[in-house]
Amino acid sequence: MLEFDRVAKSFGDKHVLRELSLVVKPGELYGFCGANGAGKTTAMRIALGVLTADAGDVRWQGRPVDADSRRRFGYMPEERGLYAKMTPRDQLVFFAGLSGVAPATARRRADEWIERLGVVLGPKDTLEKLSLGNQQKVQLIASLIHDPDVLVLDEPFSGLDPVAVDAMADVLLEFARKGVPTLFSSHQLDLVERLCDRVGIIRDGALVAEGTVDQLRRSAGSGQLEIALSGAPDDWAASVPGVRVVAATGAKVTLEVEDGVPAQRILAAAQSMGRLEHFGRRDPALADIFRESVAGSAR
Amino acid sequence: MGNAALIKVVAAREITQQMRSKAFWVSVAVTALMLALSFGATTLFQGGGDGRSKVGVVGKQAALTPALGDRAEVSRYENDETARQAVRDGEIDAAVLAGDRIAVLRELPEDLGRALQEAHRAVGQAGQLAGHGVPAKDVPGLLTVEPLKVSTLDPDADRVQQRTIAAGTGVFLLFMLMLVSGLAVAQGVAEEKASRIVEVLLAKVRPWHLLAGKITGLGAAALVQMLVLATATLSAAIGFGVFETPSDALGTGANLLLWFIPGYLLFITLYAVAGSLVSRPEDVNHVVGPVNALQMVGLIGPVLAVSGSTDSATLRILSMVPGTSWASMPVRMAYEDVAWWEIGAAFGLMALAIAVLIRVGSRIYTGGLLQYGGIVKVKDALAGARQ
Repeated sequence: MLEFDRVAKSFGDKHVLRELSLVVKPGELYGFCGANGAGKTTAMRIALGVLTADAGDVRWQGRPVDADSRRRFGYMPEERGLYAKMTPRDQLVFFAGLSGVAPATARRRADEWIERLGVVLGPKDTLEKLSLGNQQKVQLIASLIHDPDVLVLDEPFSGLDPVAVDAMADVLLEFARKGVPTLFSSHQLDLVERLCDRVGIIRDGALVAEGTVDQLRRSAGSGQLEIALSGAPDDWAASVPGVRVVAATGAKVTLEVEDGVPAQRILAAAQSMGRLEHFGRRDPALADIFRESVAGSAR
Repeated sequence: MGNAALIKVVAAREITQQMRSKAFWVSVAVTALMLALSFGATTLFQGGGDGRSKVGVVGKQAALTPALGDRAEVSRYENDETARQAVRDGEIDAAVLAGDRIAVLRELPEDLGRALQEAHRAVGQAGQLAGHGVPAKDVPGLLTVEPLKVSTLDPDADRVQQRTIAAGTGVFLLFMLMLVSGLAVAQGVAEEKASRIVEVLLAKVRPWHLLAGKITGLGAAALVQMLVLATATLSAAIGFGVFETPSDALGTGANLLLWFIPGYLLFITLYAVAGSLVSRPEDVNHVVGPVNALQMVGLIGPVLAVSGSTDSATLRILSMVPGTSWASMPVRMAYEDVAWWEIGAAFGLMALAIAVLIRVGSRIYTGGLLQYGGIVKVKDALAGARQ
């Protein structure tokens, strides 16, 4: 279990993390969401020892993370960092070596991962000769090659084509199945929604929402209805009391229902206007919950 | 994983990358070739080749010919004008004209001038003796004076001079090597920082592991480079006969190496720290300036020694000061017996300086690595390290 316990960090007068606490359980994919500058990268850098916290702890298996346990972490920084003039294979062996993997094992694993993720490269190609997508795959392999105990990935999906996104998602799911806790940040909320067991939304250095996507939806409130009618006037919904039209596309309207107004009453009103083709609750997308959560930012 | 194992992994990458770099081997080959050629050229100039001067004589000046002996090749001319023309045309270096005058195009070479004056004096004196009725056969005997003999009290004078020159040349060679590998270190650090590799690295190792790995790795590569260069240089020097005693050269070389190691540690640390202060590799030149300048000061000692100012106080001071002692002390030791306490103190001061530098330097390095935007101030880097 990877735990952030009341982690605080300031740069000068700027409080970047304010007592951030979160837990990533074994085998869990934890989506870490937040606007730019909310503190995601700083939190991850502290977990990896690249920065030190002003207060609080990051713990792994109940003990504060130290240099030895960190070497068993897999880390993919937001700003990619690889040696441009080195071949991908050589640098993968180098990074694996820093985590204590013997060169022969590292070479074998590098070849396996290069093949599995479909990195396109010639035998003597240095990293700079690879496309950006392929470089990104190499960066992911660098974080996986030592078969890590924990994965901390900062925006691992940015810049990937859909096929590569699927390949990378498969890899993360495979590590999760092995029991590896994975913390990853992403602005691609559809992906987070699809992959993550739990999501944490950070604003101004503190979590403002956390839970499974379903829990977040429930807590966000499901006061919206989607109704499709045929044969009704275009503005039929405007005459229904207790609702507000949020969106209207073709025959389908999305309505915000006031508290205390029962759905049956709206159903009956709709049926009296035309032939009912669709009636249902509209679950908010993670993107809606995210917008709601980060709205009203202090800055 | 222990510290040593981590440093080894970092160092191994540096060595492999250097050894695979074409630029590395090209610079070794070019420097070795230049050194070998410079020894060859020195020998050639010292030998002087067929350097006999050509002199023209007019009329009675032909009498100088036997007195000049083999010091000049003498040709006779009809009159002053033809002789002057021959000088102008470059056929001869000087013409001795009828009225006891010497004509040269621009300047009379010192050696030739002396030879001509001596010959003229000898011919004049012979004439005066003949005038006093001395029989012609006795004249050469009367004029022959045994030259003063010079006895060198220091039997090793030549050897000492050769050792000093060898040490001076060696220091210059090491200076170049330090400059090249220092820039490579600064550039490498800046590249790691600019490409953000440093973030991945710092997630696995401490900054001082990186620093130590770089220093040892590039140091080992520099050592290989130096051995190749030293072998080429010494072979050329011995081959061209620069050393009377080749074992002297080896001893001087070993001493240089002994002093080079702490000097290298000191400067490479400075270069690495300088590299950590810039955000873009293009800015490296702005920060290595002061380090280069400090290194240049180190050359003053060897230059003084080689140019003969061996009893200079500056040289003695430079041989004690960390940062310059690596270059001055081995040169001093090549030409004089340096008191053991001076050697010990110089070495101790150097070791102390390195210890302080590595401590302060790795803090600046740590703080500098994760700060971006132009050139990070040393003060800010130190503050960053505390964060």
